[in-house]
Amino acid sequence: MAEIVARFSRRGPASEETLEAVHAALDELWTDAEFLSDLDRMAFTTAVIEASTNVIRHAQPDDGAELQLGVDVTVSAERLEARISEIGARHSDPAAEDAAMPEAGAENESGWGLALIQALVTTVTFEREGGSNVWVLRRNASNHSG
Amino acid sequence: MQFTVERLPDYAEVNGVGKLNMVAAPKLREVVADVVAHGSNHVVVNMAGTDFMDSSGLGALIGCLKLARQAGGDLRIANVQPQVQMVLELTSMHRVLTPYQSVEAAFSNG
Amino acid sequence: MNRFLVRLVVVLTIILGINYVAWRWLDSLNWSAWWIAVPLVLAETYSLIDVCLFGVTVWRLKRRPEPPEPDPGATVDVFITTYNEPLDLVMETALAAQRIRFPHNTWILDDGARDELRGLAEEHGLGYLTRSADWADRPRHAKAGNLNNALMTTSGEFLLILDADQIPEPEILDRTLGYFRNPKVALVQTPQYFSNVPADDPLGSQAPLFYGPIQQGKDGWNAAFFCGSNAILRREALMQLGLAGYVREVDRGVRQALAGARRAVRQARRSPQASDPLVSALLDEVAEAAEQASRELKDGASLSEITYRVRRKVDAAVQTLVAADFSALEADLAEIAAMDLARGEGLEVPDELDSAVERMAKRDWSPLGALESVQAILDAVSVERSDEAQPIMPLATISVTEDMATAMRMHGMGWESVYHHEILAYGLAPEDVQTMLTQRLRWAQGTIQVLLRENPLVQPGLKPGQRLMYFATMWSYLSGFAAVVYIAAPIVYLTLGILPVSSLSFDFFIRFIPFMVVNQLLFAVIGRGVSTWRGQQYSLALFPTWIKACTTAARNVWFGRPLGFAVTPKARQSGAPGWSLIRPQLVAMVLLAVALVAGLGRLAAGMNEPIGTLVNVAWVVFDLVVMSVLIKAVRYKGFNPLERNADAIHR
Repeated sequence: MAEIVARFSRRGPASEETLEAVHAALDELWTDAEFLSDLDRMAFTTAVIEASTNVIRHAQPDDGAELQLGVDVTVSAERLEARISEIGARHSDPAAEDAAMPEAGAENESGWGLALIQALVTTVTFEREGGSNVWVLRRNASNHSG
Repeated sequence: MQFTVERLPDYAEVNGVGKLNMVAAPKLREVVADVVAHGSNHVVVNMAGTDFMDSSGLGALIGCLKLARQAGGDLRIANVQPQVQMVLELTSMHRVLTPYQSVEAAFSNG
Repeated sequence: MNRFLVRLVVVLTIILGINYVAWRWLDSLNWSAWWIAVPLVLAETYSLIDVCLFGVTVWRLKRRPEPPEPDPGATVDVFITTYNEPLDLVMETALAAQRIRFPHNTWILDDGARDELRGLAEEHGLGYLTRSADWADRPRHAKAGNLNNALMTTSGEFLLILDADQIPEPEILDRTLGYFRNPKVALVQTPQYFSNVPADDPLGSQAPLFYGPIQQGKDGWNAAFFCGSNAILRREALMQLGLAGYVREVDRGVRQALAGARRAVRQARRSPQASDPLVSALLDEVAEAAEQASRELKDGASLSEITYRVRRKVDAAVQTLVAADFSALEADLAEIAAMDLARGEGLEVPDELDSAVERMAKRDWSPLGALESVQAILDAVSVERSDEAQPIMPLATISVTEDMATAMRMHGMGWESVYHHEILAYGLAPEDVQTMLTQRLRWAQGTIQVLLRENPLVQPGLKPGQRLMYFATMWSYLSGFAAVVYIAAPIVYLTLGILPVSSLSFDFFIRFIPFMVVNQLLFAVIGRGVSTWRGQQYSLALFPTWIKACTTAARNVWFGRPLGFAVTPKARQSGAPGWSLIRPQLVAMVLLAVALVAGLGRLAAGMNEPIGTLVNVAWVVFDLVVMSVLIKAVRYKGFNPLERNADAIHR
């Protein structure tokens, strides 16, 4: 297992404020991981924000629960990994629901979102853990392969 | 994200500083709609201060392009930063929203 | 195989080929019979280019060493695409896929949405996917659409794509995933091999030359082709392709619109008002603007700028015309409005656009009407439509064979591909002539469609070698026209005594024979150990299929006409053999036989010379032997496993 050189976790209501806070924390994180290429940082940031946006826009809260967004990022020399959780969300698979075809209308870019995420990172998986739906995004750092 | 608008004789310059994400996207639409409604159908979005754009932001830019075109004008972007360039290239949208080196260059050829 | 020997023979073939064809053009054309002489020399030139392209292909023939070990953490989805194949066939493949050793998820992609198959899949613990509701009332894009749908509901890092009748070996992933340790590799293709084919392969199903030296040669140029099945793809690359595809559709729309605009202006030039100098100058200006826009488009310039500039030019011209008070034909304008090219709405379906542009451009407009129609065409496709609902389509849907276009775009984006030369799946080939002909027609149509829509010689991003590799395959599908000439020329000599060559003297033989010898030597050296004769026979004998593919694909791409597939019955046709399917070839064979008799008669009567007769009789016999394969094919009764030559597999 590769050594973790940087990490952060954030959790909050699934709102625009939390999204901005996550973004700020990511920018902060990169100062601890300057060995990463600009492309890795940009691509990974974009993927994490796309996935978080998707949670805020599309996750359905379970009956009576408050919907929360959780983001956990770990960085090792070889790999970037993010776990984006929809806490208190109804069980769903966003890939099945949103990505195949965005609805018509200017506000809807979710079809782009998922495709963009998949184009930006090496793997995307979607898991159900306890009461949360979790996106796991991984990107191999570009100067390492495998 | 903060937007400022400057009206010049040939076009209006919209300056966006910050992150063009799901929060800022609707604001950009409003700002450009307002600019076009007040008679400037040639719009340059100066992205020198826009250090991030996601698919929401991209969608907003395309919506604004449509507005300007429908009013008989055009919308162009200038001074894009590396992350924005990456998203444009990954989606090939740089062929639709072609980045210009500077605000002045955007409408210099008509 | 010795690379030096291969290259030596390639160089010899090209030199001797040019020596012969140059002599044919410069010094031996029988101009008094130009109607057969010119087609023949064109056909020979075609063949020379074909051989040169083959030479370039094998120049870098790549035999890969043992593949690297896979990354044990790789995640894989195995997709089995089916529409209407028998359930037991699908399940046999699916269960074999389940037994693949490397950890993976197996999915049946059932475009037929059959409940019974869903039940079987659940019973065996297999994934089962059908189209989501979003696809209702939208173009389904056949297999590419089926795969695109599945891509959006699964998440494996890699995808193994299998046709419903391609039974995989358990080690297929262990042998191929390792190549993806190179992060630039997006595709690994393995051979397609058919287990229901007798040793003499009457239908020419096996393609040992293609799944061998040709793919290995293309691999050497980083241009190994994707062939639709038995291939592993990297999801990340497909998704990048899908994102870029959005803009590509706009690009195609703009291309069509500009072509339509040029045609409309051309029509307008013929109207009486066009004799006015002002009108004619305006039309010139607009035509020039459209022309320039097309050129810029080819260079990959900004789509929005191109449409914007042309639009401005046309707007200005319309204003001038109206200001000059030219008889603004109200009727024209009303008709344009009626042509449901609603402004600002955009058109969703490219095929609809094609036919709308066609309608617009064909009408006889007044100059003002023509310009207004150009405006309407430009509006219908302008870039704003990009924010309309449109699926992300990772697999290319521009042609009926999605595979070639997809791989070409991947290569254009800088991804690499691998050809792994080891049979890792066993498929079923068609067992009757009709199915075989339909399948070949479809491949050929798809290839020509890609050539016409995304000519590899001008696609951005491809390396010169890659351009040539794609072009080589497309070029080879034009062979039908040459074949007709090769059949006609000896008939003309033997029946009429007309020779397309000025004389069959020593000059001819000294140039022709060495070329032919090295040409055959090239195939012998390259195809060592595998029989390439069946393939050579079919490439000539199926000339009507190749011609039909070219004409239908051209009509489809340029004029928006449907390709008009024959519906292929899956079960073998019962009753009499299908002689009617090869009627053109039967006619040709009868003509050749008649010519043979006539030629001998003319020789006996002293009307033809002996050497000319000898050469042409040999030629006719060659043509007949080549086409005789079709007799065998039509009489073929399907595969009988007991007759199988046990050596045919596992070689």
